[in-house]
Amino acid sequence: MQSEESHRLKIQNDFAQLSQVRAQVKNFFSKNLSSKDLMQVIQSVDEAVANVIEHGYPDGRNGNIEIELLKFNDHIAIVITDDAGHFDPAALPAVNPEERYEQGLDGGIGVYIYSTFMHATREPLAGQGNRLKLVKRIE
Amino acid sequence: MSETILKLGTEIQADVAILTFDGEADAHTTPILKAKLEEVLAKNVRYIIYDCKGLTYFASAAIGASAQAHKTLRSRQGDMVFVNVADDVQEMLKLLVARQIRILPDLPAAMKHIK
Repeated sequence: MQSEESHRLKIQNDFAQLSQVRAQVKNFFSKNLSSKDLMQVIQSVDEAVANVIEHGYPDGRNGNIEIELLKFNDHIAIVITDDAGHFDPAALPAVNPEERYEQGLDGGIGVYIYSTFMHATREPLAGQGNRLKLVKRIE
Repeated sequence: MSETILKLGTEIQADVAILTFDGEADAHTTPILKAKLEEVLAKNVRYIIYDCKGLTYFASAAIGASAQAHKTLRSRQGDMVFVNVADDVQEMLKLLVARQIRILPDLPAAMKHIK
């Protein structure tokens, strides 16, 4: 399906760039989503990209992450493509954020957040890298 | 590209620490929050109040850092309280950890809860 409008940004695997990612997501989708949905989309993208940066490059190499923002008639989509090692969150045990918090555990709920707020599909790329697609219907 | 900025003010009154947030708490700035929490916990406080008036974003990394500190406070028969929380942040916190954290309107309400 051809998008009506798109915007692409490229970052390196550096947490310092997350703020700029959130700002660009907010700016691009602000006229298409309610404030509640916009917040959920911003949080989802932030958590997904932070996960790639935190877990994708354990060898410490420089990584490249491309984030494509897409507007369609009835939904929006974000495609996050990285050159990290293959990662399959579906292989991880289900997470209960309340239990993790109560036990004082750090981490592990980023996937839960973006999978709750948006429809997420992931595919490994040939060789190395992953592509995560996040979709949200426009209410 | 610009970097995330988080400034944290601290005020300690007896066994209560008030952390005043200004900026965004994300994966980049959470180490600042962790260091501040370790600093105030070392002073044997039993309560930590997050004054979130200037907080514009709260990522799961910051929730994790708070969970660790909150567990320590509970072991001291204390608690952690969030006040002046923006609607966006409040909604996310309630979705994830509604049963675990206490969100109150403002500092006087938090101090009353603690007493």
